[in-house]
Order: sequence, then structure tokens, then C-alpha cells
Amino acid sequence: MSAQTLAPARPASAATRWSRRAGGALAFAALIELLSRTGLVDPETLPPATAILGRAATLMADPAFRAHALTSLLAWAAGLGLAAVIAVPLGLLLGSVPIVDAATRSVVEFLRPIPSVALIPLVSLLIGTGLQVRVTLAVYASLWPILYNTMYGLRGVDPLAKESLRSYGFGPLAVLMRVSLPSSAPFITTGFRLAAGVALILIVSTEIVAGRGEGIGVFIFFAGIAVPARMTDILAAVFWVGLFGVLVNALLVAAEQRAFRWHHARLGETA
Amino acid sequence: MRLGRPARAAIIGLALTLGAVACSTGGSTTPSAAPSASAGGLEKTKIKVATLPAIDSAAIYVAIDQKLFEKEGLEVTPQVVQAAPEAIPMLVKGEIDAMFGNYVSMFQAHDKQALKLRILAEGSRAAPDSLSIMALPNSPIKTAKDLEGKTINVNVLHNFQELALTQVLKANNVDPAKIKYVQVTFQNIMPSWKGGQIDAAYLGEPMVTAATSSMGARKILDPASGPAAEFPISGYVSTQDWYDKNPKTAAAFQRAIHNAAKLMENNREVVAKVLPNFTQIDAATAATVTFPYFSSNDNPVRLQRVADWMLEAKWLTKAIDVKSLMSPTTSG
Repeated sequence: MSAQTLAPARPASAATRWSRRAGGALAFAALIELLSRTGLVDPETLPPATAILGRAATLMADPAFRAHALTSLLAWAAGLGLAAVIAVPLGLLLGSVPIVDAATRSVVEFLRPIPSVALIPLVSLLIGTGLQVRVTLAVYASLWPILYNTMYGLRGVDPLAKESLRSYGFGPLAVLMRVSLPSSAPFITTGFRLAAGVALILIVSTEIVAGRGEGIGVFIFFAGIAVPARMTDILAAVFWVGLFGVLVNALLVAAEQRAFRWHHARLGETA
Repeated sequence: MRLGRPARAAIIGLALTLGAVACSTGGSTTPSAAPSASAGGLEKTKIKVATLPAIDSAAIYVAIDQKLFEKEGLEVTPQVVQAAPEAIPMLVKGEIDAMFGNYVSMFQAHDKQALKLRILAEGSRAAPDSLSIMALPNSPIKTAKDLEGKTINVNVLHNFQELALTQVLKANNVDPAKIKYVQVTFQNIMPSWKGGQIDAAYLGEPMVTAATSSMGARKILDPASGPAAEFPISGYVSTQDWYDKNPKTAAAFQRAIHNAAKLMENNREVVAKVLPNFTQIDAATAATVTFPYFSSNDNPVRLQRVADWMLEAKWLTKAIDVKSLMSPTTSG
């Protein structure tokens, strides 16, 4: 890591960091504008950034689009919430009871790389189509980052702290709740943050494939089958999905840094 | 699309767990089915039918728009799905009563015993120029023979597009085995055609009209000509089980669809009017595109051709007697 070899850089102020980020986004938008306006890329394929942003603004005023967006948002929240509820206890179990971990490892390793979208027909036949499919697939895919981060978090718990508690006569559950869980919490939240992005991808892509009439993915699908395809609509919808992802990530990062200041301080990072 | 039995068994446990949780929050949709005694003895008066966002599905929308279902005492709710395979689980699970699907997919599902098929009413047949094999203006492909060794897109491999084209190629002394088919999603046809990943494009309406007018594309071959003329594409289907429980509802549904088709025969406006409701075709385009034929009666003979060609192509494990899956035509 360069941070260890170089003299620590002075942390940029929040205002500087935000202005740099905004600058990057503006430059990216300018590039799209340039490619499209000069005809380097067919403007029918890649409309200018100003057109995309303008359409994004009018879409937000469209009740039909807002209804699609709300459906996706709810499915995302439900999927992510369920994934956390399932994955954290499961991760604690697998991370603290080696025999369970060993027994389930091959199954977990087998299930993890299965692309969720491949499970659409199976899930549809088992539990019905519509919202259930979307939520189930989002849960399935976003389970893993939380599960693995919880397990790895437990691995890094200070053994001395655990031993101390044990020597004072605390049982395994008390050690788990008082030492292991708090000390692996930063890892769990990082897993949750990764899962938030995964769940968003899954919700939208499931909708594009099998949305049954509702969701941002369905809006994107229908814009895509128009002849010619309504690229401005597609990219405007993608813009909102992307922006939502960025905002959620930023919020979770801020929450992590606030809640786990001690953790970041230990790693030598500056909040 | 469908997973095999062993794969299913392997992941069934986990999926069930997830499913149970998801169900408890997501809430399941229960089809509203209140048989009314006042509706001419129909077993079921409210039915849900999955449709596709394509011109072929128009008859059901015309029947709704022209109140033809109402006349039969039926209330039909269409549910647009993105592709027919999405609707099959809905049908099997009873979330919908019937679906609009292409015969090749439905016969394959029947052959694999994914469902016991029952055809409620025929839907669409290919009309001349409603499907087309097209080449870009500067393409070296001039005649059907030039297609040998070339790559052509299809929406789904081993489906009706290949089935019909194979027969037409044979009739034009072209070896069908020399055509390379690639699966290209609807949205990617134009980009992959312009980009050269496909040599000729297999298009349906409204893309045929769009490619002709905006890209100057040339028509090489009509895949629904000669032996494949009026090739049956899609129909309204359900399961045998549903049909056995609702024979009168099925007959009423069939009458309304047939009557809609009769109304649509020489009346483009009645079709053009409903297209924006379920497709991405606006009123201006609707006025210029070539429509398929909408079937105003059921004909087991022409539909048997589809099953026979599928057997010939080894897409079926055994012959299907199409007549045994069809209902008598009850419309006047």
C-alpha cells in the first residue's frame, strides 16, 4: 500500500472531496456529450448527456415511471433486508462453529457462483411469479457478501479479548454477543454495503427478464423493444438506478465511518 | 429455460427456504374467481390471460375494446409478459387462466410434459411480408442461395422462425443445414446487424417496415411463403386440467377471439387502435406495418403441419396429434 511507504497525505476536506467527485461526473457527462454531438458514436445509440439528463428529469415527474421506480425500490429494500436477516445469523453460526462450517462448506461453495437469473424458472415454478421472484433472487445474490464478511469478521476477533471473557466464566453465547459480534460489525456493514449494490443489480435485471409489468427494469425492457429503441428513455432510467446506487453507497459509507470510528482509526485510515 | 430434475432436487431445499420467507412478505396473488350463476352458466366469468407485447396478441385486445368478451359474459384481464417462457410457470401454478404463446414453445413444453396443453383458440398466422429475411443495401447477399454459409439471427434457437425458414429454404434449393443461427435478443438485432455479427436479419413487424424505410434494407426471402405460407405462429392456450374444469368459459373465450378476428379481417383501424395499449408501436407506425393473419376459426390440419415439422427436425420426442388438443369451433 502506498499509504505505508509515502508520508501520509493530508486528508482532503469534505468540500474538496465532493468537488473532485462532482468534477469527475461532469467530465464523464461531457465525454458522452462530445461523443454523441460529434457523431463519433451514433447519437441514436448514445444520445447526448444533456438529452439523457433532461429526460431523467421529466421521467421523475411522470407518475407511471415513479410507480415503476417505487416497485423496484420496495423490492430492493425487502430483498436486502431479508438477505441481512438470513446472512448475519448464518455467518455467525458458520464463523463460530467450525464443524458446521466444514459440513456446509461444499454446499455453500456450490451455491454461491450460481447466477441468480438462471434460477428464475425454478423460483417461478416453486413460489409463483412477480414480486416473489425478484425479492428471492435479490436475497439469493446479496446473501453472499454479508455471509462471507460476517465469517471473516469473526476470524479477525482479538483472541485475547475472548479468552479474558471466558476466564471470567462467560459462556460462548455471551462471548459472541459481547466481543465477537461488536468487533466484526464493521466487516458485516461492509458486506451489507456490497450487498446493497448486488441487490439493486438483481432487482433491475430480473425485471428486465421477467418483471411481469412492474419495475424500472420493465420500463427499460419496453423502451428497448420499441423500433427504433428509445435509448434516451433507457439511459435516463439507468441514470436514476445509478444515482440511487451512488447515494445508498455514500450513506452507508458515512454511517460506517461514524459508527466504527475506532475500527477505522485502528486501520490507520482517516475518516 | 427449464432445469432438469436432478438440478431441481439439488437446490430445492434452499429455494424453498428462501421462498417461504419471500412469500410471507411478498404476499401471493390469488386469482379472483367468483363463478356467477347469472352469466349463462359459465364456470368462471373473470379470467386472466398472459399476452405478449407483439402485434400477434392483438385479437384479445380488440375483443376487449369491442366488448366481445362482455357479450359472452366474460371479463378478461390481460397481463403483458416479456416472453412466453415467463408465462408457463404462471399457467402451471394457476396464477393465470390462459396464455398467448407460440405453438413451437407450447408443443415443446407439452412434449416434455411440463404441462398438458389445451389449445383454446388459434391466434395468428404469418401473412406475406410480416416476416422477412433482409440484407443491408451494401450486402453481397442478393438471392436465397447466397444465404448458404451465412449467419442469421433468431429470437430463440429452435423455434418457429427456424422451422418455417427451413421449409422455405428447401423449396428454394438452399441447404438449410448451411445456415448458421445465432440467438439475438430483440433489442440487439439492429446493432448486431449494423455491426456485422449477423449477415442477414430475420425480422418481424414492425422491424421489417422500419428496416426498409430507414436503412434501405432489401428483402431476400419471405420465411412464410411457399410450403410455409400462412404458417400458424401463436395461439391462446391453457392446460387440459383448466379446460376440463371450465369448458363453457373456454368456448365463450374462443367465440370472442374468433369474432374479434372476423372484425379485424378487413378493418385495419380496429387493430391499429389497440396496438399502443400493449406494444411499443405508435399510431403512425401502426398505419404502415403489415399485420399477421388473425385466425377466425380453428383448423387442426394447418396446425398439424407445425407439429409434423417439429418431429421431422427432432424437436419432439414423439408425434403430437394436434386435433386431440383442440376444441371444436363454436363460433358461428
